Amino acid sequence: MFDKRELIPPFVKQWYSTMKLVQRQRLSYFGAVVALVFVALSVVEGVFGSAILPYNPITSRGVPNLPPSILQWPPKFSHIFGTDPLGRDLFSQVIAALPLDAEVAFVVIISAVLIGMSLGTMAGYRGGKLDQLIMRVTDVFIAFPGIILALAIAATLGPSLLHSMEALIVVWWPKYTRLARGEALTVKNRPYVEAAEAAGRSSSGIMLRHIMPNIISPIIIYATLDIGNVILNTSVLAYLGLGAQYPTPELGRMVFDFQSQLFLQPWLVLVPGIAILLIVLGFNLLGDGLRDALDPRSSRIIAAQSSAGQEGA
Amino acid sequence: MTETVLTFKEVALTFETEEGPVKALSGVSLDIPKGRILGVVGESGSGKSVLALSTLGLVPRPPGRYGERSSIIFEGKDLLRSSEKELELVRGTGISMIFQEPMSSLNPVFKVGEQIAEAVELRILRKELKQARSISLLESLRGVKGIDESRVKEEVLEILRDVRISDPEDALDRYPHEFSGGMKQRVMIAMALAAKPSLLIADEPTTALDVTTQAQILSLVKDLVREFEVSVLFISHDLSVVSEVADDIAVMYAGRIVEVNDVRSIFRSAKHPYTKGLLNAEPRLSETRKSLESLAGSVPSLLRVPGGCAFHPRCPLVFPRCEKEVPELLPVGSSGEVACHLYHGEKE
Repeated sequence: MFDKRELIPPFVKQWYSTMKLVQRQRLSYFGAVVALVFVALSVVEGVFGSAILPYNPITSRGVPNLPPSILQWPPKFSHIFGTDPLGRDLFSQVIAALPLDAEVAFVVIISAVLIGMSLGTMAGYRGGKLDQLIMRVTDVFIAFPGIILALAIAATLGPSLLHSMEALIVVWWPKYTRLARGEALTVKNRPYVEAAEAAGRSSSGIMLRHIMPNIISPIIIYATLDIGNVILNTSVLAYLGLGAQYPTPELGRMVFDFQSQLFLQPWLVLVPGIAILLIVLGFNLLGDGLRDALDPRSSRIIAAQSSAGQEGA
Repeated sequence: MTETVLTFKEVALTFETEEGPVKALSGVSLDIPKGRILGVVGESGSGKSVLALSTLGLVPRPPGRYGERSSIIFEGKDLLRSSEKELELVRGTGISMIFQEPMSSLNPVFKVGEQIAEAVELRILRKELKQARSISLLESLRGVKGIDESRVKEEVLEILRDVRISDPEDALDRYPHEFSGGMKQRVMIAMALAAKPSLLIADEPTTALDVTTQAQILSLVKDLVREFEVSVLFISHDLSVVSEVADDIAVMYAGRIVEVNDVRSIFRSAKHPYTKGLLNAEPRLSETRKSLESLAGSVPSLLRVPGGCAFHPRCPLVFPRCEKEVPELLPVGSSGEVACHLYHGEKE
């Protein structure tokens, strides 16, 4: 009689049906798989540490003080990506770097969403002078080139992983403020908000219970497709020496460390470079798919095309 | 004299727009006696809904501006001169409102039970714990201190039973989208009555519903009003709907009250030509007529209200004085008041 599925909150359902549509587009599906593998590897590696890696990513494989020509191996069966000039296994380093990037990406995104959503909801719902103030400050941040601002902040604070995260949060929140404000403006005029006002709810209560829960789904989806960009920017900061410091393995940092070897042992640069490429590409493809799936017009087209394809097969 | 719950005194409301001032209300005076249902009837744009929103202080100012002498007295306080904080305390405790669109007046992401519970908690907080405030941010997440959750649940169930929702236990855990329009309107009524207000404002509560549901909701409202002893300001464009529930009827035209009387008198002996026109435009079961009469013309734009009596361009009984002088709302006959020069002689 009673269908348990009806107890699932609407935004979970929406997310699920969106993901179903993403699955029907091949490229986005690939993106979703890459993103999922990245998250899974990061979580596993983050929990178990170097215990599950074939080699310790920080210590040298061989006896110290040997000449580089003996320590540094090209890819072979025991070291599939080879070793670096200090004799450390490159595969282990790349895997060890994943949870770090995942952590940065999620911390930055979640902070940006929290800050952006609170400010944006306030600006959109309250309106007036507060709106003007918040949005003009936001405009200033958006007008400034993001990566340069992040560089300046990270450089001022001093190079470290924590500081690069802080710098990225400062650059990232304004987008979400704008998004949340726009959504809040549409939700604000819905009858249930007016009804809540007529029923004597405080404005903070209305924002928390009536505005925020109703604007969260587009924000969550936008945040999902934004993760790739955060990882790319983390790598850029690290490449420029403002992110994670030696010997912490970090993908951007590795490209920087080994770029002098580009023409001698290209795999040292290519492997972390391609890892960054895959992750960012994966999240961006996933994001494209999400956007198509969320646009009501194109989502119908996807559904129609894939059902036509199934009939043909 | 009977006790009045709400008094409108010369309420005039102008909206400043780019095309010029829009006179939404011009000099509305009305009393709502205790325990009675006052129906306000008028075409779209006659100012009915704005009157309701004024009562709750929900008209944005600016662009809205009230006249100097306007006042809306509720429980001895002038609502037009109350602070936002004071108004917040009146809303949902003293005055509740039911809206036009039950389909979208419930928050889609919360269960019906939670939404009614919030109204119950607010009432207990203000009326029993005597705390003059709203539920704070933290309390809306964790529950209010000093309020027993099982008691709130009991009351929610009771109120769902009062609005005749079958299987209230099941309804508690459902989301609004699982309900039909009529059910949602019942939930809205439950939320409004959960506050045990002294005045209920119903702004076209049945417009979005089909006719059978309409009849059910109307009889429900009527029963509950007696049971909960609330006064009602019932707004509708449909004279037959209003006559179904109301004790008294006020007819509005272009931001003014043109006639007030009890339901019987309005139907038996309408005075104002506009009221007569409205009545003639209603189909009646007892008569067989080929076609319904309709009022010629349409409601004037509130940007350019005709001078004199606003109804004169459409009035079948117009005479020269109507174009020059605004008629006042004055008593006529044994009961009721009407604003029409046909009934009142020249001023001395």
